[in-house]
Amino acid sequence: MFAQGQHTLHLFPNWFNNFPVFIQAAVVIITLSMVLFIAGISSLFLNRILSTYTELRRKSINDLVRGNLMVDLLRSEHLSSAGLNRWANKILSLSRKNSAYNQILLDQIIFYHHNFTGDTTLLLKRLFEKLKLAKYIEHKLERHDWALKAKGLREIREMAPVFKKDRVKLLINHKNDDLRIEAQATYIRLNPTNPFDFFEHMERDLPVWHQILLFEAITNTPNLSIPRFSQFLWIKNHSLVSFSLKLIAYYQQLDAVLAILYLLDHPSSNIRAEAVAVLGRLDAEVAETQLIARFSREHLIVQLNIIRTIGLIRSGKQLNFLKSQFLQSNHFDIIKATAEALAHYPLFDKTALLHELNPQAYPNAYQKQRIIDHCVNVIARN
Amino acid sequence: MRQKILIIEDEFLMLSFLQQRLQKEDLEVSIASDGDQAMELINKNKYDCILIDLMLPFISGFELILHIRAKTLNQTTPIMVLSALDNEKTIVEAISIGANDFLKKPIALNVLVIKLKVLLRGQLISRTA
Repeated sequence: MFAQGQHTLHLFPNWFNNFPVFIQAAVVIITLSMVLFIAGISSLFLNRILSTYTELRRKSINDLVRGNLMVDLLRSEHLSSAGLNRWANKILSLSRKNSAYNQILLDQIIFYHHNFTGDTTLLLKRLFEKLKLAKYIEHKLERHDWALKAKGLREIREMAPVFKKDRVKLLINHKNDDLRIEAQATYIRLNPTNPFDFFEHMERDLPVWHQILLFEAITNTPNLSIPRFSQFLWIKNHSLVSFSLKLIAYYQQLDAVLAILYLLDHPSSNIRAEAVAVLGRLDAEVAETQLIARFSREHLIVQLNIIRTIGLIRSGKQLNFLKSQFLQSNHFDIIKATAEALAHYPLFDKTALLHELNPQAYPNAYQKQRIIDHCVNVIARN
Repeated sequence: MRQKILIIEDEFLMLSFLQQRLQKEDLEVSIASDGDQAMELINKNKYDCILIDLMLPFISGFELILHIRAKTLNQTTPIMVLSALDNEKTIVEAISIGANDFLKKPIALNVLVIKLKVLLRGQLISRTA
């Protein structure tokens, strides 16, 4: 042990060994701390220099693309094929020198493609193809980083290159939310003839914000073949049933009414409520009797939608139903919904209703009067 | 004398591109990338046409239109709105408060140029009348 201690102490000069052990230890610790501090500061400093250099380099490439190439290119709207080839070769020679150039170029093409239409878009599309940027995007889908994959999918969606849609389909059930929705939206864009065939294979829920993104993709894709969404009302995934109902209402698929009526027996009250709301948006007068028949045994959210739907259909046949709900109910939401439905209802006579609303018979008559006054007030309604 | 137009748009790429493209049409093009900057230019200079994006930092496109129509040098200058907000309500509101035309983004450049020319021709006629 002594020999080992001696051996260790030989690492330091003799004068250092004469100090007490605690001073030796303190000196060693202080020296180590200083070394680590200097190393840390140096690495921070070096990182800063490197990132500034990268940023400057990126900026110069960006300026080059924007200033010298893209703007000049887009100013020549009627560029011939020879002219386009010349530009493409110039850009290709630059991109071979630096791979960062490809991404900057792609970002710029996508930006202009997104903001302009007509000849400019066609020109950008030709340039995109000439530069073989689709291959560059394809490489992103092979990477492990989900963010990069999602970015690649967004780029594919914007430029819609010829692309194997099965590769996108593989990502439709990915565990990452962002990547999954990008894959679904891209699949719709790439497959205009049968864009919704992945619905039946979807294993995960489609949250409302995904539904909004998907809806945007559907409504912004040109020449999309819109199927009968009633075919998806029987799948097990409730969120997809809900989304299909929204699409039925948006595309006014009147032939779906019968299928929606079957949905009124769905185990989920949320789905039943949505189905009722869609019947109203489709102006399905045929459903009125069935809705009223099941009103008393329904959950509150379904009851509210039944009232709203009857108010929306405005057939004029359910005035008594609405009046009785308004007069008999003690639930504020029901009173409010019926008052709103009554305000627009054909043959509704406010004075007669107020006359019926006897404070002795109905304890909350005053509150109901105020609600109906508010609902028929044109200024409040608008 | 070259006709003067002002482009108000917060996307720098879009702004510089439109500026260069419209300069090709022999126009004197001024640019502003936010509402404050635009307000300053509008109060100082008279333009033959103003192109406005609705979603701007600091002051919205709607407020700018109201300001232009209220009392500035440019009270009678035609205004063309360029916006991605293309719903019926936005279009009606923009035109009812004083815009002369509405162009939905993405923009077809040749449509923009022809619409702009029509508005500028109107300005030229009213100036010479």
